[in-house]
Amino acid sequence: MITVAGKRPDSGTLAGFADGSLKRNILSVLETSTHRYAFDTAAQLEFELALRQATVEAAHSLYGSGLRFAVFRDAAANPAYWNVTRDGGFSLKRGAPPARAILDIFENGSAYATECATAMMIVLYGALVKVYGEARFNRLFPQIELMNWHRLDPRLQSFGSLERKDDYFPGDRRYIANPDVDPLTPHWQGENVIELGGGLFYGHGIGIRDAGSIIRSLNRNRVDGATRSAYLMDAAGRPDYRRLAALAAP
Amino acid sequence: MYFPRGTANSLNALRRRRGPDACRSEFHKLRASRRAYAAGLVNDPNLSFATCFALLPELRGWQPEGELCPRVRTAVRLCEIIRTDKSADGNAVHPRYDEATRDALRWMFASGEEADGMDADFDRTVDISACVLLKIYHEEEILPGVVRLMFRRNRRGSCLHDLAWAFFQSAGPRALRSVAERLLSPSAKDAELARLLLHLPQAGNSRREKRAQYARYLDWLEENRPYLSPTDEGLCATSSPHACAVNLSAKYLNRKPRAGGPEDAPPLTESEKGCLACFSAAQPEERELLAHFSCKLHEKDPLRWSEWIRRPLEKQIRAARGGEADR
Repeated sequence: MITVAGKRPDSGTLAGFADGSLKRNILSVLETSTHRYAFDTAAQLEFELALRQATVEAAHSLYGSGLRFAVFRDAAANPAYWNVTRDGGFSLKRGAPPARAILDIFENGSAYATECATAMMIVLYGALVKVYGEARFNRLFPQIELMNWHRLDPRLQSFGSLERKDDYFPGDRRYIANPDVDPLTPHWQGENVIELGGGLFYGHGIGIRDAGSIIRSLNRNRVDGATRSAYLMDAAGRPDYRRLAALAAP
Repeated sequence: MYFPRGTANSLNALRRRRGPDACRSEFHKLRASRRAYAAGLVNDPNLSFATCFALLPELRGWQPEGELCPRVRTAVRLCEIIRTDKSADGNAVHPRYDEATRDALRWMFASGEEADGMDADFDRTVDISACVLLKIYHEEEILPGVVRLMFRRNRRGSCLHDLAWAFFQSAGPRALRSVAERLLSPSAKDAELARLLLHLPQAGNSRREKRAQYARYLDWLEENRPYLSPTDEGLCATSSPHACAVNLSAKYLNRKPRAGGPEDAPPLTESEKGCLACFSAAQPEERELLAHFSCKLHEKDPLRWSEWIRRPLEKQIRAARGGEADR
């Protein structure tokens, strides 16, 4: 159930900003859920829908960018914008425009290589550039560190933590754990994915597939005699939409 | 280059003094002129894995293979698998996890630690040897070395992800305690990593605050030690992973796990099943409170405990909230 400023909004209000099928799908889950999703303003709800849609679009775009998979020690980035840190993270170069640096990963993906968690952060930053626009994004995020779930901007911290949710939506960051992974290939310990809707997920290095197919890939990298299958965790990481919406206000 | 007869230390010393490339180049010449002697140097038990790693291009495809000892042969094969399986394709041929592999891995980790930072692929190979030793062979003796390496890497700002994964796979009380000691470190980086690995909140940097956090953690560890088990979490999944979880049901019933694992535990009695049904009806935060209270009361007064655990849930919670165990 959705409430805006404590009241149920009429369907006309909602239809006004659910201008795409993805947003409509999210709205439909929000409305039919037994959980109460409370928004202070209609703009807050609209922002969350827009950022979720942008996250899904950024995931598709990153998939098509040619970004390579690499373990941290083999991480690579375009030196025009990024320094690769000793632990395999990317650190925005002094003087580099943040939005351009993020968009460069989507436009020149083959110049970059990283693992699946950092790719999730790239997706989120790509979506934020889209919803804020380059000028505002540059003001809001003058320093960017991309390093799995560490050195996160405090405003994006909750995207890095996993919590059980009542419902899951396109744009959520999910995790498929592989508890019996062969320790010789620990990079197969699990896959960070973005939920895309329609039962599909984007995982860097694995592509766009349904959960069953990703689980089968992970299971092929288990130790001999494994008894536990990889599984989609009943949890998600979400940015603090309310806080990010406040940053979008003129 | 002069290689004194009968010792591999000359190869180790050469690598340490002049670097891996010079070591490999000299070994290449030696192999061409005095092949059997070169093989003897590599087979010497004192050879460090770091030296073996530096010589890999010379050792790969060495024929006849039997001239190399099983430990070196296995290590060369493992290095090759690790080197070629860094992609997301996952088509590696994995080794048999037998005693020969275990012996080679022990040597790789133990003698590899001294040369940490020599080369990115070398570090990765040492890290993965720790992963396999802990996950497959449950070699907990290496945990202090794993912890030492993690903190050293963290100070340098270099990769510790695979080591952290290895740690999360088997974070038992001993490993947790050794990480907890770093909470007291004068290095802010050490304390920060310790808090991340132990899932502890930020604390002040004064000695008093650090000691208080350390003492609280040790109390927690002592109370929960029998009921801890590793989780599937890690730094790849989340920014604040739990290395281990407390089995609250077992703690509530005061059922300490047996050495043989869960399969070795006797079945629950009818009375225990009843208590557990009552416990399961509680809210998550109430369960934590009840488990803590049950543990304390059982330790202090087993007779009062057996009376308390048979009370209805609301009365158990009321007693726990009132801190009856402390009276």
